[in-house]
Amino acid sequence: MKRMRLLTSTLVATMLAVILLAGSIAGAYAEPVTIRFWGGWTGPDADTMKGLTEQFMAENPDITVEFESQQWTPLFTQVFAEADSGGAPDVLAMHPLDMGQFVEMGLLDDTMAASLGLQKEDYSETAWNGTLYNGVQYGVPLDLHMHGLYYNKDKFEAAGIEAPPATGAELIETAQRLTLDANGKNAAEEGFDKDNIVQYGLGFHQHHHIIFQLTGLLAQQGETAFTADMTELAFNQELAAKALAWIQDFAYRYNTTPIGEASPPDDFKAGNIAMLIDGPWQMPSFKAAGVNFGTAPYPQVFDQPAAWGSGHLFTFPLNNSGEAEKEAIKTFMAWMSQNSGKWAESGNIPASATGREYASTLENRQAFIDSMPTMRLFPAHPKAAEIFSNAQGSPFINAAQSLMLEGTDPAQVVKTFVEEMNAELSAP
Amino acid sequence: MKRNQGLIAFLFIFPYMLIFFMFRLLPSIGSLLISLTDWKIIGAPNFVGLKNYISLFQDKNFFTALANNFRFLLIVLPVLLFASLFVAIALNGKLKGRNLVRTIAIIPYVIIPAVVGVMWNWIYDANFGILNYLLSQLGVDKVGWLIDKSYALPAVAVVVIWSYLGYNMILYLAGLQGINKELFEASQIDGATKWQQFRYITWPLLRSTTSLLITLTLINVMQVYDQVVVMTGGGPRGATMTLIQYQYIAGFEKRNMGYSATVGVAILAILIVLVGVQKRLFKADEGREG
Repeated sequence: MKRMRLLTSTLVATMLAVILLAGSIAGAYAEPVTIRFWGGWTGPDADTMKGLTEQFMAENPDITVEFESQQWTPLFTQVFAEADSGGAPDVLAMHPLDMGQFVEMGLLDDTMAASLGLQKEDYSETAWNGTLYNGVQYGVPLDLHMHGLYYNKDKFEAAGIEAPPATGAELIETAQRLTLDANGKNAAEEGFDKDNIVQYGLGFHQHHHIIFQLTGLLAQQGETAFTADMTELAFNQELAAKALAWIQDFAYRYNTTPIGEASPPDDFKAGNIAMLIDGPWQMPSFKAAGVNFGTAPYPQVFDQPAAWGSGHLFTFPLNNSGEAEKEAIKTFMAWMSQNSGKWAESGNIPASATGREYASTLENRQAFIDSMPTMRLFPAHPKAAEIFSNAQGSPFINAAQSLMLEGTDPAQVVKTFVEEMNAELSAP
Repeated sequence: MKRNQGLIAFLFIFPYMLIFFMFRLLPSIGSLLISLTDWKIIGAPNFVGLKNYISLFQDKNFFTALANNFRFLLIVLPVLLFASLFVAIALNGKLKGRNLVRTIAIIPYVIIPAVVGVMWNWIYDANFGILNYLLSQLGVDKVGWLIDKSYALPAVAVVVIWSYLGYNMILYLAGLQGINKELFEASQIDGATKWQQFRYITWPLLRSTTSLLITLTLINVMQVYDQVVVMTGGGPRGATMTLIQYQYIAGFEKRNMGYSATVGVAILAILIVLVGVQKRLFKADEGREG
């Protein structure tokens, strides 16, 4: 009887121990690690990124990624507001130019990127360099995007144009042939009615992207527009004026670009313009709109090929997260590096070699991939938010509106732009 | 009984007062304090006294935005008042389909301002907009509605008027329906003309409605933001930049929250003065007529 009681007690104790052990094991998986990932995408690219995080979570059920996306300016404001209390996200997407100010404010972890064991040769050199600030790596490259040329294939065929323009002169000539008045005459023909245009040859953004174009066109002339340590602008102003004159002439001399064009991508979709200078992020939208389009690199106007570009990278703000979250970040980043090819569906060109390989299988990506080695990024200047601002009254917007809306002499535009930028750079 | 009524009244207004205190009054007091600092969102704010206010008085962009707000006010206030009164009087009569027209008139007010902005962008587009197309059919040259400094502000003002017309009309309509019909019948017997009825009955009895609408318009116009941002971004060359947009740029683009709060306090002070002057003028006018 006594032995029976002992046996029963042992059995109960064993069962209890098994239950407790099982409970503790189950507990470890019942509460997965959660990491917060914030980005500034607001178009279809936000959906693509959301899809990627969902796929990651499906493959890694013990890690939850809370993905939030809103416009870049309010996003960064929120990060700053949260940073003091340690509530910054675990992973924060940004552009290379944004990084300097975050580093200077002491907001980014300078060890995480290095601890991931990424290999430089697996990424585009431009994208890799875009993650460095003062020689320290603060991020993981995600993608690059740069100016390129979109063209409407149907309109090219109707005008008997076989290939997209590759040089500045070819772009002017093609834009003229594709600019049509109500009588069907093109902009190069005698008797063309410039007051009665029904289709323009070329469209481009007439806001801060004018300075983006200027950056590329200065690079084509061997000049660097902005540097990470600049305290004043040092580029050759004559060459800058030459570049801006080339841009302005499309509207004011050749009548091939609408003055003050409000939304070039919409005009391209509507068939109001035949060619467009814009970034690869427009591709999903044009495809969805059913436009029969092709792409080409930004034309070589001066001595060498170059175009403005930017990119996205993952950075790691300092916050209150513990070791479990840090391990989860590493798993997430490793997965992203392996699977970033799908990000190409957002139009952006993945920075990793494997991602680019996948991107090259997608329609119209090759022109942008070819532009990667010659693209020019804005530097990660500590005052990037002020000097590269596209707010009303900023040097970028003043220059663009002065050039394109008011038809101001390009030399004067450059002079004022330099003065205003230098004032921002020297401000406390 | 009286004590109970007081308690019931308090219970009714308590939820609003709580929300008002937490989300209006407290942030306003907070703004006043922040305006005395150099707070840049991150890090601790340092007390700088009246430095931001001195900078404000030397800031030409602030005065450009202030002047733009007053330009908006000069266009919007009179046009909106008279247009909404005119429509309200028209719809107050025995008109076929009156209810349908009233419903349609209020639609612009309930559409999200950003959507309104996008819609009017299509209309105003200098190159492909419907307005310039229609004008071209009449032989009028292209107008850069939103890209020409001379036209941009009036063009946006028209949209603001269009947005608020229905709402103001409804308030005027309520005021008109509160006027005793016997007054019109008596004046008709005395041989008063339609104009005399309007001048001596309708207009004086709509005084409180008009006063309310002027106050609301002052507040709305001093806070114009959405339509401007969507339609012109404050351009061309700052021609439509308003105070609220300037406050946003200072706070969120330049991350100078101390200065942004100073702009906010200035807007509040300007509004208090404007509404105070308006109330005083109405009171003086009332005393004269009384």
